[in-house]
Order: sequence, then C-alpha cells, then structure tokens
Amino acid sequence: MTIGNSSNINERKGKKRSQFKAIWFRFKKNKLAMVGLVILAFLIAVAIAAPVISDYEVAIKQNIRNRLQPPNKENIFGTDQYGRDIFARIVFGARVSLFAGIVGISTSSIIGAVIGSVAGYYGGRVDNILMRLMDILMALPSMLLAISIVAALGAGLTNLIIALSVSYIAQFSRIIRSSVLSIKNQEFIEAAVACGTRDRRIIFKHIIPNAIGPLLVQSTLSIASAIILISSLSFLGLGIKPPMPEWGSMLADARSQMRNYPYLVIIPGLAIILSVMGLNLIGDGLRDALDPRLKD
Amino acid sequence: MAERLLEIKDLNVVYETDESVVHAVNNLNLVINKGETLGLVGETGAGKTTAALSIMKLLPDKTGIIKRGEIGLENINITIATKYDKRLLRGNVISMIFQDPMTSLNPTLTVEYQIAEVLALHKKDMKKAELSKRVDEILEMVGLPPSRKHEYPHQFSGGMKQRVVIAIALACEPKLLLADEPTTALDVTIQAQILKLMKELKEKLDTAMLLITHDLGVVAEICDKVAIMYAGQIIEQGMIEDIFESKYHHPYTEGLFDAIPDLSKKTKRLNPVEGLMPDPTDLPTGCFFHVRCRKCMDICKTKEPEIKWTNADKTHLIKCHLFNDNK
Amino acid sequence: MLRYIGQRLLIMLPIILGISFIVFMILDLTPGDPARIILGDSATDESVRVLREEMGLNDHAIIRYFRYVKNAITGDFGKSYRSGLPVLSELKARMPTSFKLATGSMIMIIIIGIPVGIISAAKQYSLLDTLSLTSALLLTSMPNFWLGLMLMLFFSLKLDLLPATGAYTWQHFILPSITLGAFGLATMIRMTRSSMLEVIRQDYIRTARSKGVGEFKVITRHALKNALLPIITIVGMNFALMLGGGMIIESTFALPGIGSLAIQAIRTKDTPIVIGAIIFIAIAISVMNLIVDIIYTFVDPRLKTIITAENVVK
Repeated sequence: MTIGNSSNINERKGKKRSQFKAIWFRFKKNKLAMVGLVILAFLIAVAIAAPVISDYEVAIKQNIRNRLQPPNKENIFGTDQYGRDIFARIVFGARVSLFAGIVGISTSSIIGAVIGSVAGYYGGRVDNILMRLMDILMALPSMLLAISIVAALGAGLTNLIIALSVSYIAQFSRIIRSSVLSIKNQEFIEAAVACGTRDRRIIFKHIIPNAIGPLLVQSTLSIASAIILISSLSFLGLGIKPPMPEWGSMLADARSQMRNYPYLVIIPGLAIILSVMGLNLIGDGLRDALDPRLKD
Repeated sequence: MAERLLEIKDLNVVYETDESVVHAVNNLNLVINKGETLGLVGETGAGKTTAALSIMKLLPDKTGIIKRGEIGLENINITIATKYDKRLLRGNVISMIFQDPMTSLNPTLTVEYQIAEVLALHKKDMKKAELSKRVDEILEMVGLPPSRKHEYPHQFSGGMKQRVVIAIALACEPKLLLADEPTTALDVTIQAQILKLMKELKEKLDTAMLLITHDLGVVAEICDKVAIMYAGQIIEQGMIEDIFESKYHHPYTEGLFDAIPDLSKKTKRLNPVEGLMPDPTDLPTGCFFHVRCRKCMDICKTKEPEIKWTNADKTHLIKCHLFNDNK
Repeated sequence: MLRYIGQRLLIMLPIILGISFIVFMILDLTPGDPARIILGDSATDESVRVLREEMGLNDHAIIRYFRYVKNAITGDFGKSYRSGLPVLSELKARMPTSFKLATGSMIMIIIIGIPVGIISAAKQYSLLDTLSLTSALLLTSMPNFWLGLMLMLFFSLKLDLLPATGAYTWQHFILPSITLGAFGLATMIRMTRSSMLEVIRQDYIRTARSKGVGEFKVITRHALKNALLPIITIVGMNFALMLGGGMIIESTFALPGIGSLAIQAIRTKDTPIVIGAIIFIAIAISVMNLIVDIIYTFVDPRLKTIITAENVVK
C-alpha cells in the first residue's frame, strides 16, 4: 500500500507541469465550449475590424429619406427609423458591448482578487471588515447597484464601466477568498513561509496563480452577464449616450416600431444572445475542464 | 451434498467510458451453497464489489456492462431477469450491506420508514400495525431499542447505523446476503460486535453470505469458504482449512499472508506484495499476476494458467503454472 | 427556533444600514439641486436658497445621512421631490403590483422548473434532457426585456391573445411573469438537474435500489427531498433577483410596481424615492434569505438538531 501511494504522488508531480495542457485537452474535447470559443473569436474579430467592415459614419448618420427600410441589398439588416444602417450599428455595437464588458469585468476581477486574497490570507479582523463590506454589496443585486451608480454619475461609456466594475467586485472577492483559504493551508505555502518569503510574494507568486482557475471561469460568465446588464441599462436610457450604437439602446429605439418592423428588435436581440451564449459556453466548458469531477 | 444457491459462471464485467474499457471482472467462477459463508478476499480494485453489484444487478447504468457469463440463483439465470423481476429479488431474496454505514442511510427519512419500506415492498399482505410490530422485532434482533425508531440516521452512532443497515438487509429474511466490507468503516471494538451479530443472525435465519473483505482475520472468524481474487479473477479458492492450513498456495496468497503482522515471529519489517494491481484497462498477457510474482517463470508471461485442484476432495483450487506438474 | 429568527433579524440590521449608507452616498453624487428640482426652473434663487436651508441640504452628507436614518426609524423616509407625497405611501401603493408579478414568476419557475429538472436528471442524456438543457442555455443568454418584447410582439401584437401593457386584470400579469421568471426558470432547471444527479450518486440511493424500490419511488421518495436544499436556495435567490430585475420588466410592460417607480425616479432625479425603493428591495431580499434558511430546517432534519442544540447551549 505504501509503495502504491508514493508512486501515485510521483505521477501527480509529473502531471502538474502539464496541467494547462490537460485543461486545454479537456476543453478541446468539449464541443459546445469550442463552439463558444469560435463565436467569441468571431465577435472579437468583428469588433476589431469594425472600421474595415463598415463605417462609423454610416452607423450614426441620420438619413430620413432612407428610414425603416427592411433588409435589402444595400442595407443587409435594413435601416432604423432615423435611416441609420442597422448592420453598421450592430458591428460597432459589438465594440461597445465587448469593450465595456471586458474592461469592466477585468477591473472588477482584479480589485476583487486583491480584496479577496488580502482578506483570505491575513484572516482575522482584516478579513472580517472586508467581508462584511462585501456582504453589504452582495445583498444588492448587481443590476440595482449598477443602476444607482449610473443614476448618480450619469450615462456614458466611462460611467457604465465604473458601475460594472463596482457591481461585480463582491462576487470576485468571495471566490478568491475561498480559493485562498483552501490553498493557504497546503504544505507548499507553509514551506514558502518557512523559507521566509515575504507576504506580497506569497500572494502574487503562489496564491493567485493557484486561484486563477475559478477566477477565469467567473470572469467569463460575468462578462456574459455584464453584456446583458449593459444592454438593460441602455434599454432604460441609463447606459450608453446616443448616438453611440449599442444593442440595448437600439432595442429601446425600435420598441415603438416593433409591430410593423419586427426585424428592428429581432436583430439586435440575436446579436446579444449570440455573444452572451458564446461566453456562457466558454465559461461552462472552462469549469468542466478545470474540475472534471463537477461534470455530470 | 449441500444445495447450490448461487452459481456464477464465466462472468465478465466491464466499465465502458468514452476513453477506455475497464475490465473489472474476468471469467469469474463462484459457487455458494445454502447457508454457507464465502469470504471474497482481495486488494482494492480486484473487482470484488463489481462482482457483488453484478449479482444485485446494480452496476452503474450504461457504463457497467455484463459482457459474458451467467449468474444463477437456485438454477435460474438472473442475468436475463426483467427490470421488475430484479426488483422482486432485491431486498427480498438477495440483500446487500454496503461498506460505509455513514452514507448508506437516507438522511431525510426515519429509521422506521427505511426498515418498513423494504417489508412493505416485498410482504405486500402486511398491514400497517403488523409492519410497525415487525420493525420493532427486527430492531431488537439487531440490538437496537425499538423506541428509537422514529429518529433520523444522524442521531445514531456509526456502529448503530450499521446495525440499522443490517436490519434493513435482513428484514425480509433473504436467502443470500452480500456484505461489502461491512466493518471497514467502523472502530475495531465495534467491528467485532458487528461481525458477531452478523454471524449469529445468518445462522438464525439460515442465510448464505458473501463476505467481501481484505481482512484475512475477519475471514478466519466467520467464513466457511474463501476465494482470493486478483484482477477480476479467482486465483485460489478453498475451504477455510485449505486456505489457512494447506502448504500449497498461489504466490499471491502467500504474499497476502506475509503482509499480516505476526507477533510470534521476529521480523524486522512487514512483507508487502511488491508493486500495484495491473491497470484494468490494459491487463498483462499470460498470468495477470506475473509482473509482481516472486516465482515468475517464462510460461507465466505468455500463457494463462489453468485451474488445478490440490486435493482429492476437490475443495481447494489454485490458478497458477507452479502447480501444473505437481499433480 | 424563535431565538434563531431573532438572531438572524439582528444580523440583518447592519447590512440594511450599510446598504442605505452606500446608496445614500452614491446618490448624493447625483448632479442637480434637490431644492431646484422641487421648486422648478421658474423659482427665484432666493426661494431655492431658503428651501435648501429648510431641508438642511447645506449640512455635510454624513450629518444628513444620520438624520435620514433617525427619521427612517420612525417610518419617515422623506418625501418625493416630484409628487411631494411621503416615500413610504408611494412604495406601499406600488407594492401589490410588484408582489403579484414576482409571485407569478415564482409559481411558473417552481411548477415548470422542478419537474423538468427532475426528469432531465432521471433520463440523463435523453432527448428531453438535451432539449431542456438547450432551452435553459438560451434563456440564460437573452436579456429578459428582449424576451418580453418578443412575447409582446407575438402574443399581443400579432396574435392579440394577451394584453401588452398595464396591470388591470390577471391576464396582464401573464407575459410579464413569464418574462421575469425566464432566467430563474433556466437556473432552476439546471440546478434541480445537477442536484438530483449528485444525490442519485449517493450511497443511500444505492441502498434504496438494493431494497428493491422502484425507480420512480427512488426519485420521488428517496432522492428529491435530499436534492431540495440547493433547489430552495435557487428559489430564494431568484426571488431576490426578480425583485431587482423587476425594474426593467415593469418598465417594459408599463406595470406600476416598485421597480418602474424606481426607474422613473432615477430619470427624474427623485432621490428619496430611489433610496426608499432600493432599501425596500434590500429588506425584501434579506427577509427572503431568512425564510429560505428556516425552510431548510424543515427539509433537512440534521440542521434542525444543530439549531435547537445551539439554543439549548445558550
């Protein structure tokens, strides 16, 4: 029995180096996750190449004579009630949603990671104060928090990103804290402490790299929900200021024309679904790849 | 001659997943007579539990598959039994006790419900009052106060939980009891009590028992027959005296005995069987044990050994090339 | 048990206070002078100055916050800048609509979500399982107001089966309830499924099968109750999310609930209403969490013992 155990540990050590390879291997085998990756890559490509694919002028220039044209050769997704090309607005809208979502969530995850690891690592009173603060933030649905921040600061891209980052901090800090707590007591951290390694180095060199998995999963899923949140705020007129093209505000504009021009609400909605679904698929796939036991 | 209760012939069980096929049980042959206790001994992963689950027809859905072979219960092949028939057998004719009493009982149901349920399922003519009385009797039989039957499993200790599990298993007085390491999860002192209880009850109810264990001490205490299992096969089988007293043994059995600490002998350290159980997705050629065998010969690497009886009564068999020329 | 509830209510207090503080401070940043909003553009600078003095707006935000809390304890949450009515009575008038909407969604989530999740788990990898997982994925990937628009487009504008906006009859609540509950329905299906799958793997389920219990009874009698804990959490969490998410749905369907009141107040910079509405929602969420925890103890006998034991010790 003893022999069996020690050889198992040796095996595991060998595998540790190729952990990322193993995760990628499992991820690659997950067809749905790969579909999500393709969707996201496509959307990012569209967002980056937006000026090549289309023209920002077309997306915001009003042209009353050409208003409410159903999809045709000239405007493949048609035009809205101001005569703006919907295809161009969708393409540039991808920029806004992805940019705000990714930047907002990245900021949020970094701040949350710092708060969570400090709380988890130092424990005691620091932990108590920080986590009670996070409890308060958690008690407010992120939608509500984001709405109040945007209400106070006013609509606009920057304020929207600020609202997003604040709204998601609590979730991230909790996740990182629990990862840190589970890692903290493992032997390799004790060994590092025994070697006299400084706290900051332990947090950044040892603990964060090990907590990165759950953080990545949560980030992906949070970007997905942030994209919905952005479109919701814009739909309420609280997110992006017109005339900047954004999917949610396109829906708000289209509402009154919905009965006779359903494509006006269908197309932006599908754009949102596509991007959110892509991110959700990647997030779920990552979670399964990181911890195969969780998969049913 | 004792009456045959259970006869397993050439049983092959595999677990199929997307990546691999695990050969858990390979050409298993086993006979249990009425009222007899057979000890099935082997390392973790030898396929003991799989064998028991095959008898219960509780192999995991879709992945666990009986590839070949027959399981006969009183000369009826139960491998081909219908879903409904299987349910009539389970808990009624064959019962099973699982390894860990802590997790074997449903935490949200009272002890009374869990015992009464099996009675209600198989003794359909029992009235409610009768059921309740019978539960009391069964609890008393396993040494638990009937007054505690309204409590939930978490209010009982580990040993008491295992008594409840035994009560459930024996409630319908089955002909065959499969006990999968019933005492492994318990304290040593409680182990002895539970073993004693099981021995008493099986004699009282005339139940045959398949006792799965890796503890030769337990075997010596309550078994009539012993089968040693390795990589899904029986490699040695005999009456209790054959295994504990005969001078002929499979090298693996010898290894198992050497691994037991013996206070009467002066040895510096224990003698474990070197190496690991072969990978069940990729079994070696020839004798499955040859990689770890201290007496490995050339023939062992290529040819699977045949079964040989070591005595004239044909009670003791060994599956090893060493005994090919002896008799 | 009562003691436990009391303790939990006590813990709720600082959280509600914290929320009110954060929200008060955030909204204090809102540009615009409340006195000017109340009096309108035509008022003289002098009268605005007098009103500011009267309302104590010149004091530091912290002082104003403490004044707000002091009044709030007596039930005075201030007056709406726009209507001049007390915030509490405005909220009370809107409460029934929001409550009806959330209840409607909740019923849908439970009635459809739990059975679909159970069947999905019992028949894992079947066509039905794939179908329900796919629809759950779709539902979690769409903004609920968009789903609302689609339902409205189809059932009201095209088929003319159900009313699109307003809150006059129970039919008016059908589309909004479905819309609001859609996300919760998806999470409920997923959670029920994974929770059931987890339980089905447990040893005691194998014990039940080894007793000869039929598959239907294994699921309903042995597995379901054990799988219920996470399911109840989801119910509670959804209720909370729905109260928050109700804002958009109420606005979309023009339902006069707390959410649409809050949105309207944000647009018109009616800060007392906004703070009042958010505090109300936060309290509702905390109470819901408490109710969930109490229900837990009825489902899992182990928890009840722990809670009662704690009280005995104390």
